[in-house]
Amino acid sequence: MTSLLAVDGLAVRYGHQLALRDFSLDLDPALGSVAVVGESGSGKTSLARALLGLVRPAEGTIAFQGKDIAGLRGGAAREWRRRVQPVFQDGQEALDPRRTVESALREALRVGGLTGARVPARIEELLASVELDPRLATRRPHELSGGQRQRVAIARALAVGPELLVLDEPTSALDVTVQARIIALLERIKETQGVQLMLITHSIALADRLTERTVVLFNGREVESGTTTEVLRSPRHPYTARLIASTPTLWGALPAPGTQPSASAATSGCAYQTRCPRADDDCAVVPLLTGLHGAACHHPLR
Amino acid sequence: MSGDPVLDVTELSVAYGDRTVSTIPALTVAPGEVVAIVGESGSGKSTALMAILGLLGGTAARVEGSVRVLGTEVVGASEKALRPLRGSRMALVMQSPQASLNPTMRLGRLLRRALKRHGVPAAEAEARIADATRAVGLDEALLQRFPHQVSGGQAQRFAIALAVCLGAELIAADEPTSALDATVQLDVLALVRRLAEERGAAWLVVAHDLALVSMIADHVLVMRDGEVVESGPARTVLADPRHEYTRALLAASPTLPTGGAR
Ligand SMILES: Nc1ncnc2c1ncn2[C@@H]1O[C@H](COP(=O)(O)OP(=O)(O)OP(=O)(O)O)[C@@H](O)[C@H]1O
Ligand SMILES: Nc1ncnc2c1ncn2[C@@H]1O[C@H](COP(=O)(O)OP(=O)(O)OP(=O)(O)O)[C@@H](O)[C@H]1O
Ligand code: SF4
Ligand SMILES: [Mg+2]
Ligand SMILES: [Mg+2]
Repeated sequence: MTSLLAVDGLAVRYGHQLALRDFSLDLDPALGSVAVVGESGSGKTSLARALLGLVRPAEGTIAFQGKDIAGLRGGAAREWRRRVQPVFQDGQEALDPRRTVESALREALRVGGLTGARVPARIEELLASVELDPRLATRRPHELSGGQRQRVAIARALAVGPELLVLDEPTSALDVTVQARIIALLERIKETQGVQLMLITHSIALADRLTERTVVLFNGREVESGTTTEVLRSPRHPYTARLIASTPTLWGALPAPGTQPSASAATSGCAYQTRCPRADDDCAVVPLLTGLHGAACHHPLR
Repeated sequence: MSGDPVLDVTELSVAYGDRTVSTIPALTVAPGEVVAIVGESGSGKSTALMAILGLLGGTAARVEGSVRVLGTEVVGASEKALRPLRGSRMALVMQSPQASLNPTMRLGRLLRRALKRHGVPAAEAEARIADATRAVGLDEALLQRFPHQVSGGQAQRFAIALAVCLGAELIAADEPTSALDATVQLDVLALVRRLAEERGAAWLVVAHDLALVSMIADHVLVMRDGEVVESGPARTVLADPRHEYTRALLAASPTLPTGGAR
């Protein structure tokens, strides 16, 4: 089987800054949805940008249905751009500031092949699906709140009729009641339209609800991956464990002053060394990721 | 901590055309206090912050009522009258800061310039910068970069570091940790509390995660459809919500079914 998108040995570099290295992943509706979680600055957005052709791989390849996206032209390129749709961290960036909500959706529907008499009804349906007041249709992005913009960006992506949604923090600016409804919407389109997600998120709860596989990034490397259940319920890498344990809880305690870990990653060996409670001399050698529920760690938790 | 309020809001209302999108009948924030604003998307939280910091002048918004920051009336004040307040006395950490940073200047230079403009001597500036970047978990090497060359979460931490460096007495922050992973988020929340307790900074924080709010806030304001529907001490509002919407917010808070690796 050729996957819809196959990432192989991908590295992303900005100047001499290596943002992501040696990353491989198959994305296909048949394989379910994938969560990408990890440290701020670990390379998650860089991965999304590479999948969408917004940044060129420094190494490795990204193939759409078996063909390198770097060489896609004409109809094949349009297919890739239609079937893989982004929803970015900040809705503002993804939306044309001069277009009204309605005009943005109309354009997206046209790209997806819908024109003519059915367009207005479909626009109404899309707005309803992301719980936006139809009266907002005449507004431009700067006249919307952060959460409203984020929902327009989701509606726009859906309008094109994608098979894979690449979502970068899609609900980070939404209050929890709307968030819950957007999650339900994403669950619904997964089930009824077979659309799969590559979901970049800081929310462990969101990854848990919406995805089948989870990849954890730290400092540009994949440090753990497996089924979402395994990774989130039985984390093996010390960073993953700390990430899950740090999720705020009602009346939870804050870390004591002076316990802040070093901000910079180690420059050789395991990058997590400077913060890891389990670090020892072995960790001077970069640990490799192997196995089905793998962890790039010399002393995994389990 | 006691003393004159840092912020005193009465009958604030903001309208676009004939639509009122945000109203706050009354709010005072004392030095060292952390006030959280929670509420539905589109309920007027960001608009309220902008109005309080006097950032809606020259826009289509119509602002009425009174907002006193450290004794100075902000509503209707000229940009010139507000200048002495900006930065060193009141600061805003925006919902998505990346777009608002001067794209032609390296982050380090942005910090140094801001400190210089506020009369901080160079040697002290360096010490403050080192402290603030460490406190927000930002690698100092990133200060060599331009704003578009850092990740979303790094830009967010930079914006917090900037407000912290200047020693602002009132810091308004719109979803200040939404782009941070949970490990960094906890450190930033601890920083918010610490600055409140040690330096007496007053915080006005818009957030949507009620668990997070419970960890830092003294006082909570719940907004819906442009109105404050509930307001009170965090303990009371979150433990015994009066308004149906606050209850819905609490019920919808996402949690991990198991305790994870705790
Ligand atoms: N244009 C650029 N030039 C140089 N470095 C960059 C550039 N864009 C990103 N980086 C760096 O690459 C690394 C990865 O960034 P990326 O945006 O992929 O992180 P992320 O995982 O999405 O983080 P966040 O959760 O904070 O959004 C970061 O260290 C960042 O500073
Ligand atoms: N320039 C504008 N013109 C007209 N209406 C606007 C403008 N800016 C904001 N609004 C409207 O005002 C209302 C309040 O917006 P605001 O940004 O304050 O909401 P918010 O509570 O911060 O929401 P979110 O959680 O989604 O960020 C929204 O309904 C929004 O559409
Ligand atoms: S390899 Fe060592 S430092 Fe790295 S995560 Fe494992 S125990 Fe910690
Ligand atoms: Mg990112
Ligand atoms: Mg807002």
